[in-house]
Amino acid sequence: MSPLLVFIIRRLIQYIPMILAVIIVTFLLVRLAPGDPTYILVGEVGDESFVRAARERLGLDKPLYEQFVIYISNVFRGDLGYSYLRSEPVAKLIVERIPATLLLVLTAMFISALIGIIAGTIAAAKKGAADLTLSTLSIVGISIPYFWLGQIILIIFAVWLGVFPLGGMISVGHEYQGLQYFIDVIYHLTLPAMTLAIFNIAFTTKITRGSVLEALTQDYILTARAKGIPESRVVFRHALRNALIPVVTYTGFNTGVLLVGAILTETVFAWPGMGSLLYDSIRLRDYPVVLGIFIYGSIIVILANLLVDILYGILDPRIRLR
Amino acid sequence: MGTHPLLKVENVKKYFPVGRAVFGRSKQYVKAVDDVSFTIDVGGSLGIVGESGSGKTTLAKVILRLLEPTSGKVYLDGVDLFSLNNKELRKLRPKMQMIFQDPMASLNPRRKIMHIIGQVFKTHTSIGDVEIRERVVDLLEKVGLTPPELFLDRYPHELSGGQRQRVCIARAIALNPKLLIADEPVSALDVSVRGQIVKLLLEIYEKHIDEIAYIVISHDIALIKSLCKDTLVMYLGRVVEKGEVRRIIEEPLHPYSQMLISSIPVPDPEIARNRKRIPIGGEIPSLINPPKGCYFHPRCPYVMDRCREKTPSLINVDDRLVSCYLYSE
Amino acid sequence: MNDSRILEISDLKTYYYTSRGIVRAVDGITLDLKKGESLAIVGESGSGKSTLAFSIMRLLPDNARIVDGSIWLYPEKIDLVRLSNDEMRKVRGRRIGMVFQDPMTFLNPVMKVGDQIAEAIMYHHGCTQKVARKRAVELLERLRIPDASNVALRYPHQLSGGMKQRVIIAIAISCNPEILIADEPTTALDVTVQAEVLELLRGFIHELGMSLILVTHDLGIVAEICDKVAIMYAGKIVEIAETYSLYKSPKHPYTIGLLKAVPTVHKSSSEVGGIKGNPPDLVNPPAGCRFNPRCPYVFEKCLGEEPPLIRVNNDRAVACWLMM
Ligand SMILES: Nc1ncnc2c1ncn2[C@@H]1O[C@H](COP(=O)(O)OP(=O)(O)OP(=O)(O)O)[C@@H](O)[C@H]1O
Ligand SMILES: Nc1ncnc2c1ncn2[C@@H]1O[C@H](COP(=O)(O)OP(=O)(O)OP(=O)(O)O)[C@@H](O)[C@H]1O
Ligand SMILES: [Mg+2]
Ligand SMILES: [Mg+2]
Repeated sequence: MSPLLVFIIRRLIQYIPMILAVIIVTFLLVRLAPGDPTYILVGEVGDESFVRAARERLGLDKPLYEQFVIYISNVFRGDLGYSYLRSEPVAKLIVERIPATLLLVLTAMFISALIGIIAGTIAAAKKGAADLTLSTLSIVGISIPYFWLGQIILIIFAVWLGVFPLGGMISVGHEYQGLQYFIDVIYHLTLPAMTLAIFNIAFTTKITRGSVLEALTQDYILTARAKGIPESRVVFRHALRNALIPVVTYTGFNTGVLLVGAILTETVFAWPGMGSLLYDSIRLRDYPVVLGIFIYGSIIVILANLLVDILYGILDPRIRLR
Repeated sequence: MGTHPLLKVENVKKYFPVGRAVFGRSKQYVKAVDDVSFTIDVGGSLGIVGESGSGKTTLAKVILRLLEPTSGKVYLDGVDLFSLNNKELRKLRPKMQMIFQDPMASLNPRRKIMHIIGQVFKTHTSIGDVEIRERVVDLLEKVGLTPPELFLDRYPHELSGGQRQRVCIARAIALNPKLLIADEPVSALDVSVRGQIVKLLLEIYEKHIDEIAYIVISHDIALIKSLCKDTLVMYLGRVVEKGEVRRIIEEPLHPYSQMLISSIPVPDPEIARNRKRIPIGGEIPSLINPPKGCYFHPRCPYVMDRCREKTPSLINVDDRLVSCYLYSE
Repeated sequence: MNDSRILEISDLKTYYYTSRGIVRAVDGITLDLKKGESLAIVGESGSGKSTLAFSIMRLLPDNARIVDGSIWLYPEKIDLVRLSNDEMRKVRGRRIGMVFQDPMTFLNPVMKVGDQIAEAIMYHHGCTQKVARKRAVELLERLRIPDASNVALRYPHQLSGGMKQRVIIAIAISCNPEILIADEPTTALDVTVQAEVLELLRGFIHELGMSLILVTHDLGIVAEICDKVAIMYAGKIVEIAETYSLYKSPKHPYTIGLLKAVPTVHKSSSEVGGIKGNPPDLVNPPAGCRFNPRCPYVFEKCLGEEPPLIRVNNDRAVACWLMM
């Protein structure tokens, strides 16, 4: 077996207890949160017997620990249960939505990595005005809440200027195919991806700047300068390459934050991903869906971290994957 | 305590795969350490000299299991180091310490000296902060960084090379190791500081003579002479000669040792430029495809037919061990 | 005689600005170097040798400044101190190469060593990467690195200390610079390899007319390859002389002490006395001659007034009141 495969399998096994912990914690959190789904199902004024029947059907009459054991054993059989409200398997509901969320998150990640790394490197290499501007912008970017930012962007570009759609992922009423479909999706994707990316661009800029500044103080930079090669090459080939290692780590850590951002962004832009599903499900106390999304979310975060570990091995030859 | 082998190294080998860097497997190997054996008694000290790249640092790291061995056995005080699991190894770490070739690279640039040395106690003992501080102060005094208060809050880059090396030594001796390996402890230091560090190492050695064993790695045989009684001479991952340092300097037996002694620069331009040296040069040895037979034969002035065929084994000659056919029979 | 001059340093002062005060690491140094000449700079740790080297390369850290003096590069007679960054870059690598002191930290850890050498060749000779890589391997072979073509593909952490040091030398000489500044280039090498590397440098000096500034504390190496020796003490040159006569009859008390302090195989470093006392703090150097607290021949004049570097005969200058 190739060492890479061994490494991946080894890591995945190590992650099992983590996933278990995530399930326990979210299960408890969700159940301890105020609100009872039966009333939402049946309505506040429903007959007491209706309520009891509904509770029995959903298994909510059993003690908490029993519910938990049942839930866990189902999860391990690959069964995340049924949505209370939509009477569809939770897994199916979520899986349908994953591509949209991934598209949004990966686009935002790509944009922010590209812009953030370049801006951060320039800020570090060019002291003075460029640095000040970029650093200030990044601090502003980090401190703006998604929800608010999303609404502002929506108002400016979709409502006032009308250059982008108000929401959704495809234009309703058209049956676009092939390239047209692709363009239509990009057209819808622009605003939410921008909203989600802004925080990350700011964040990546900040991290990259610090990391490149640090790399520029290292001795091997002197060796590079002593060769008489252009300063841009010193910065991008020598300093940035070393600086990327911490940047990648933080980006990995940041996947979770990005997913949370995606929830808010998706709600604002009616993007049909896991985020808007989660938002609705929390509002309506649709426990199985909420739990299911958490489980999928943590798996995504874990996979992102696995990817970071692999990237490490590529970026830093001193690290041997074990 | 009578003398008994504190460290026993048996047929240790370390081959590094080279070629594809990250994920793939490579078919080529660098035979950095190739079948090395020796023992050191309690209170013993052993030097390791050899050409650059002959595997000195690698051997040291394998002995301490900072690198995983390819094969062989190492016993420290009877404990088979290569059979320990990570947890057992961690427990034993304080007992075997290394002073690294690069003092700067082995000190965390963002930590103050207090933290760097204190960390050792934090990881391996359960003593409290106040006592840790006392111990660190004691150690700094012991290695001659006085007054200690002046150094506790400094960062490594605020120290001179010699002072940094003292910090490394302090950290290494913090938990009374049984085995101390110093890799090129003074090669980065200048002459005047060098003398002071050598004195310090000797002092520590003499103070702990009935519990400690010492290995000093250097390419400078004069340094080995001032620190150790015996030495190994390594060439391309193998031991070619072992014996008392003084004797090897006076009368090197192996042709490589002879070359080593004769190329020591002499601080006198007249002698330096007119003296006869054993010519250096010849083929550059390879560690990936080492020559057949004796590894030194392509550069050896006395090469014979059999040197090209079979590796000579280490044999007893007078007061030492040599691996060379010149001395067999 | 003056037309063969290649570098002239006049009254150079480089200071570090620190929270403790101003460190006068290089404090008024005057030197010249001829084409094909090799000059040794010798002195204790902290005497400012590396600072001098970095000043010539204009690679000083942010807290350092060249406060006074000039560094003239011939034949054009351009002052390196006043050159723009862009023009200075053209000087580096091609005209002045530098070997850095610490082999462990001066190589980029995430770049293959062969590529680190090839980079400069590619840039200065405008050749393809393939050609440059081949040249890099050839250089490594000349520096007697075993399995050079394989080593070129490795990362620094896969090399031994001595191999890293030779890679740094290879980078510096890869573009055949007119002047090579080598800061302790052989500390991590065993004597046999050291002898070979010195031989190689000597070859460069003779074949290509390269000039060498060798920073070292090893007087053995100096005796092997240098024509001239400058002895530095606390940021100043105290004696500069032709190698043979310096070893035969050192004049400055510090030089005398240094020569006595050299360990050899026969008298090992614990036996040699060294010079008593410690080098001075460069923030507050002693008044008068900076060596006076450690000097066995100190007299009144030394405490009050600083001795200038005076030419005592054709090939020697000394800064000591005893000589005047
Ligand atoms: N991680 C590694 N991967 C591949 N090869 C390695 C690795 N570490 C060391 N080597 C190789 O092993 C050989 C021995 O290296 P080692 O560092 O032990 O030499 P050394 O005797 O300490 O030399 P020096 O005196 O120059 O420090 C060298 O050829 C080196 O290139
Ligand atoms: N970045 C810095 N900031 C402040 N002081 C410095 C800095 N670099 C060096 N110094 C100080 O300048 C003086 C000269 O240092 P330099 O490195 O030039 O000495 P050196 O002669 O090369 O010594 P060594 O033989 O140890 O390399 C020393 O006192 C040192 O502490
Ligand atoms: Mg080594
Ligand atoms: Mg220096």
